[in-house]
Amino acid sequence: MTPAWQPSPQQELLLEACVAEGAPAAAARKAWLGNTDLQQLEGGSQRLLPLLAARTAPQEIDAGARVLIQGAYRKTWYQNQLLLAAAREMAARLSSDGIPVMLLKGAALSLEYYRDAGARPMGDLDLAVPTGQARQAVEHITRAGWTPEATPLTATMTPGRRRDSGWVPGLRPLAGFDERYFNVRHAHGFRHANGLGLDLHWHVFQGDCEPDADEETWRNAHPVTHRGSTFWIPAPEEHLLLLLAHGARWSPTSSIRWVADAATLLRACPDLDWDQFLAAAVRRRQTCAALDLLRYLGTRFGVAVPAEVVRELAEHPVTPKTRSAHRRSSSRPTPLTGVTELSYLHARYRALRRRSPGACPAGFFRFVCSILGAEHPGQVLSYAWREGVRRLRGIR
Amino acid sequence: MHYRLNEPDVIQETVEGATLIVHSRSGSYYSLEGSGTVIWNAVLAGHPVARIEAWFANGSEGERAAIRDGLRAFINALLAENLIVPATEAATQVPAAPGTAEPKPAFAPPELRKFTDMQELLLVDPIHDVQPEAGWPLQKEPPPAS
Repeated sequence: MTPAWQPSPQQELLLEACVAEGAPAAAARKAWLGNTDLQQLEGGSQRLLPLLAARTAPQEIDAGARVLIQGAYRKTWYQNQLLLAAAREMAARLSSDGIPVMLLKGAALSLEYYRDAGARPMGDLDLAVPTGQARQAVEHITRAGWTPEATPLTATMTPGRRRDSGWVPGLRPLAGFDERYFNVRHAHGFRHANGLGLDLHWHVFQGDCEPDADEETWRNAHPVTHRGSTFWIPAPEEHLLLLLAHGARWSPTSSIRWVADAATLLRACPDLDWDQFLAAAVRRRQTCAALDLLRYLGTRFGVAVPAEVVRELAEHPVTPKTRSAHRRSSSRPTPLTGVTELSYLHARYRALRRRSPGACPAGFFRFVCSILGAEHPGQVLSYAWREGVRRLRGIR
Repeated sequence: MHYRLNEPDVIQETVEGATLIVHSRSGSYYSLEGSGTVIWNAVLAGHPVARIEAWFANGSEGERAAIRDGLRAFINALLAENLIVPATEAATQVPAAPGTAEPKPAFAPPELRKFTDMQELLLVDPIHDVQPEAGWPLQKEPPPAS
């Protein structure tokens, strides 16, 4: 089965139109625009249209398509400016309380690598704070008018579908942001009444939630000043790894933009410290994702990835369990993925019991209930049953 | 009289001859094209309004009066929306003549298009929900009620 991170041939053509240079890029744009109906475009490709607009000269495209693609660029520019303004406001609030703010993913990529506010859409604003200051940060964010969203259970659960039947998590109350939650989840979404979204990360990588997991990332980060506000940005080596780890995961909207993000970052950083990248990949247990995606990027898009980096990633010992978890996370969720999710929750439960027994309720089921925001185990069991059936039937 | 951008609240950029402007406090979005973009960029470059008027006007007195009226109305609209503010200090350098980088367009009363519903602007799908000849943010007309 083709992993979710791998673009289809038509998506590859669009990516080539966006990230290649010179004549091959122009040829790809001509071929893609010539055989694509914009009205039928899937979500992953639609997210690349602003970048295509930025790379396409007016004479390369017919007037009708140009209006739509330029519109996608303008909308991205507008939304990104508002999200960056929100980032500046939150940085001012948080830094006044001694909390540093790191920009991740879209916001950092826009400022640091694309250097074009309209080229790279951000669905929401990804901000990271040090794990130990997460609770304070949540309080500041809610005081600024942002409401915590419901705890997301799986990547397949979109709010509209959660209302099908049975129990579903409600909006997470402020009291639900406690040591247990910070120990399991890496981030939580907040929504402002104006429609903007913010993802607060207290851990940078999904599934890497040890209290000291991000110390190296913060140590290697560098400050950037944007319109008078100072943010931290991950070192390019860590950021590249984050893009690959995130891109490797299955998502309801095809995550193919990882190709454009990674290629843009690598072109902007010809002196990338590959030893630092490899060390981060090992430390974060992301060598499988890094290997698969970098090998593809080098082979298909000609992006310069040193052969010895690929070799070292390939030779790094990986347990069958880790390899299997990587394969599962790159595919549409199945009932078996639920076992991986439960296994992860159990590992986090044991870690918390060891570290702070007082913060952990007695019994794994009670722990799961508190993470999901359920009142009793019956709600979780009924959810697990419905979700299992849904995945078995392949319903999105 | 000369003006400057109302920073940091207002952010603007000109892309392919069209100017995109956002007021980050209100969330309002504005767009300019044609002579509106030329005048906007001349104002932000520090040109006094009288110089912009003189640059456009090379015809009859009647034409000059129309340009003056159009310019005043446009500047007043920009001030009313808090997109520009009077500059308290003169520009440190004399800017180049407005529009020297491009051929001078015929003067047409500039139109400041304004879109205020931020939630709607964020929700409009730029491919499926828009007028095909205008693009985002102009939405398709809703189908007539049956």
